[in-house]
Amino acid sequence: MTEAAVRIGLTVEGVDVRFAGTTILGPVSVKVEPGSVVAVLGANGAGKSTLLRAVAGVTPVSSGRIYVGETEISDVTPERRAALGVGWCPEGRRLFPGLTVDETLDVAAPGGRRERAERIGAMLELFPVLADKRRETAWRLSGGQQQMLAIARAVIAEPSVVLLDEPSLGLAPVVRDQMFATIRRLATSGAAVLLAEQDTPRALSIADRVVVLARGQLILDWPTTMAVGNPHFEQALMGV
Amino acid sequence: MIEAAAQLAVNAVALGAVYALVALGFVLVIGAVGAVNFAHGELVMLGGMVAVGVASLLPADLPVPGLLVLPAVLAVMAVAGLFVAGVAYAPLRRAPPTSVFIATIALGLIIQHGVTAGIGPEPRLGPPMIDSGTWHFAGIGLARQQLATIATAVALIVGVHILLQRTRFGRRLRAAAQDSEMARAIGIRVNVTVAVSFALAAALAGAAGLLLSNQYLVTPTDGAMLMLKAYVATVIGGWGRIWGAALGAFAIAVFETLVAAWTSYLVAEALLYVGVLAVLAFRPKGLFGEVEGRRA
Ligand SMILES: Nc1ncnc2c1ncn2[C@@H]1O[C@H](COP(=O)(O)OP(=O)(O)O)[C@@H](O)[C@H]1O
Ligand SMILES: [Mg+2]
Repeated sequence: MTEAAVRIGLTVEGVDVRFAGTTILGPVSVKVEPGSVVAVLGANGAGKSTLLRAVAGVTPVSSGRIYVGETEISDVTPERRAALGVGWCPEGRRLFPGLTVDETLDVAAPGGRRERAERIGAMLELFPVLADKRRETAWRLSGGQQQMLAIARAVIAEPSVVLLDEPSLGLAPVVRDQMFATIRRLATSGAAVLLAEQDTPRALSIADRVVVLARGQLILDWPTTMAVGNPHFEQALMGV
Repeated sequence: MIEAAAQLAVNAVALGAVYALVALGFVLVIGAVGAVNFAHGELVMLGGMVAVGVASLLPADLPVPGLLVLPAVLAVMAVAGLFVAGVAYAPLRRAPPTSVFIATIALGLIIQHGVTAGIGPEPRLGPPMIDSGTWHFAGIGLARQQLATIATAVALIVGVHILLQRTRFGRRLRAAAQDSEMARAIGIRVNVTVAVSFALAAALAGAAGLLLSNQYLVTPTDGAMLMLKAYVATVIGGWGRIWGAALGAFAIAVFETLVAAWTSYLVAEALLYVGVLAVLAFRPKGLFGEVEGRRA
């Protein structure tokens, strides 16, 4: 990924999500600075995916505001948010089964033919495991390759905000390490990365800040350095 | 004897190619919106009627009347498809799929009765694709009409194949059909791909209507039977699989034509539905579903 020209962060202000009258998230406020990773931790059902979906625009929010840089996107369609610089890699990858690696990247890349080819080239450099699988359909890739493709699809437009929902799920330890190294590189190149994870140690190893959700509430928002080894953090994580 | 067999095979392929057009349009809409367009058969009939109407405006004794009518049928029916999307789908997007079923059934009946009220219930003769006569291959004479039908249908199917498989827009359309939420999140305007799917579906239906309108005539009540064939083709081909449905439709037509030649059309129809029940019982994912291995 090339250096992002404008460094733009993500601001979530008092967002809450309700389904049929019950609040399943929030109100939550989070800020992700450009060039940094914020890890969202919490048990299953805590609301991590819901937070990311709300930012991506695929789950409507009941109240609150979301900004990409200075631009408010709270009432904007998902396709508009993609154009405004939000990239979302959903839980479970959700690749398009009939498309090859090349085609998957091509449908997600903006610009004309030449620009798209360049962007695909950049993705294959960032995710070398995909380079010799370009003509393979998504469903024939290994789990790790599929996850890399799902992330590449989310970042090929060089979004300023990158939302990653449990990217390490189901991957072998070695592949996980590569995955987290790649995520860190995305942030280093300027993106604001919001990372929902269950793999706490690895998430902490690359995150600048860590937030913990429990039953839809944000119960902790700390710099990673403060969280590591801190018994209060461990307790928050276990929902005590 | 050989000539009769060859002509029979050509007839089967011609009907198969036309049914494949019908099924392609039908399954495109299923993919795009996850709901069945029960007015699809009426769109085939409407295409036939449009062909009859446009042909009546042309001077007689043209060498390729059907071919000249085709672009007009495609254009008029594409607009009709947008209309179907506008009245029977768009207002019900957030409603359960059954609402779309009911709305399209209603729309189909409105089209059928509208045509009957407008021009009467009689069968109409559509324009032939090409003037009648036979072509000779290796001493075998074959009806030009059927060959022109095959050529037209195959050209349209190849065109759709190129659009869907080889162009970026087609891939984006397929991506949106597979997972519209995910597609929107990568910037695909799904309302555009849905509108195009409806327009394309109706245009293909219209072309099929034109291709059937000369040999089989076109009657306002034709829709239900065509709709049923498309539905069956989709079941045989593996629900929602574009090329599976086209193949399924082709298989139905070949089966019908060949069995009807040995027995009668009624027996062929009956055996067809026995076959469908067998497919549903033993291969619920369709005859071609698993072999194809991927959703198109
Ligand atoms: N579409 C939905 N309708 C109703 N409840 C939902 C929906 N999606 C998620 N939830 C509920 O919201 C809560 C948070 O879910 P989620 O965000 O998926 O948590 P996490 O990603 O942290 O595991 C859960 O209790 C879940 O049951
Ligand atoms: Mg989740």
